[in-house]
Amino acid sequence: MPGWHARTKNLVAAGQVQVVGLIQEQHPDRARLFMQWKRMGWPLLVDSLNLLGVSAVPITLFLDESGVIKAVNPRPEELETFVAQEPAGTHQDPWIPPTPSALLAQATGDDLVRASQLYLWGGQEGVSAAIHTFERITQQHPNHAEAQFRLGVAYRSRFDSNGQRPDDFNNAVKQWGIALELNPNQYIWRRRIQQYGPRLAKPYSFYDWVHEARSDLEEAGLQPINLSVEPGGAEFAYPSTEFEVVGQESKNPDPNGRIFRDSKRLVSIETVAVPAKVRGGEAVRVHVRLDPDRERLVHWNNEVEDLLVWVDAPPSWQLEQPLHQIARPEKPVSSERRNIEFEVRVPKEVQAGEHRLRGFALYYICEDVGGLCLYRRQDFEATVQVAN
Amino acid sequence: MVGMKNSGNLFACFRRSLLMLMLAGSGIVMGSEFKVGQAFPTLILPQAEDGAPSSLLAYRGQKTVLHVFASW
Repeated sequence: MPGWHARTKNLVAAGQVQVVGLIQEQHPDRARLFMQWKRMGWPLLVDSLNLLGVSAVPITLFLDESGVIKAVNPRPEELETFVAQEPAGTHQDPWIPPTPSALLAQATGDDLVRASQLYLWGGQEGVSAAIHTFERITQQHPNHAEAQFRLGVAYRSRFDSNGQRPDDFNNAVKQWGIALELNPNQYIWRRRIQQYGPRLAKPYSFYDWVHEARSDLEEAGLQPINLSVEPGGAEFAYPSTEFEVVGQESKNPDPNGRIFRDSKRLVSIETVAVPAKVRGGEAVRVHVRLDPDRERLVHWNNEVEDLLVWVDAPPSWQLEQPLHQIARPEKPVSSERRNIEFEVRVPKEVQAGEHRLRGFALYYICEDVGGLCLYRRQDFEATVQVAN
Repeated sequence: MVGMKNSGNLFACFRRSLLMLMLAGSGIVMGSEFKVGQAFPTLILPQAEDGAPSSLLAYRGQKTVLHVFASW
């Protein structure tokens, strides 16, 4: 893309051609940061639902003045010929964009259209309404691959919002898995799973460029575009051809289970295995999320020790790392979400069905502002589905 | 673009098997197959900058280079 940009920027400045981007990502602001970093200032449209139906990127098209496709994936050298072509079509009145409410009002009849428009234009409430409608479609038509994928996008979007509900991320991963099973040649859908999945299944690091982009922009005196959702471990992780195992000498920090449990559930723990279904010999990346109960003003006590997470894998399963430590922020108390991710590899010969990984977290937590601070353990499970 | 590094592989897998179908007024396309001579679908999508409705329709009257991509 930057190569194309170098060829087109003078033509754009001279008004001879317009360049437009159309992105196929879950989080559009990451593409904005990429473009800011590469100084690509052209307009960008967002197609997180994959309404365009492309199954891979990048794709470059030349469109004439009437919007007719003149070239599909042309070579950059073809640009000059394209620009020199006689203008097509007659004068066009400027297009006036409809309002979101007008678009919603138009979307009647077809459920898939309605759900997609609710997602696009209905705000946070629209995302939940879209989920409801996509769910209905997928219940009635389980082989409707597009609806399965879009339902996953909507779940993940709600997961990333303040309106998050339990299992949203889990459901997103499940839906994407169903969609991909129905259409295994859809690489945009496959990337959505790989983004959060294990290193063995990654084609590349998805967002390793983010740190470099920010650093370059700051060095140039520019404020990098804020990301609404910071990329996490899996999104930075690099692919690997071998399952890497570290820290096996670590000791279980509570082998006899003597530390008191967090019986009041001051912290909620949710686990998500990506992908939702694997075969023998494949790896899974498990995301563990720990959220202090903000309604009860629960907060981490950062003055003592780091949060620890211990994971046990069933015999003959490979576990990347049993003990994980989450460094404390510098401030004495905080209530942020904490995440750890770890990978396991399923043995080649393993019974199909549901398998459970068990683990626990140890943390210092305070019940309320000025309230009791406790050292607590919470056990958790992660479910791995093994297919035949 | 970062995604370029696998573009050869991706294009090998790029199958555009479904007929492009415009749903009048909705801005929704089912499937896609890009062919020279076809009109690009009049999808209405959010702008990345502010989420406002936009479309390739806004650039009619100009020659346009469209990049469909992802930052990964």
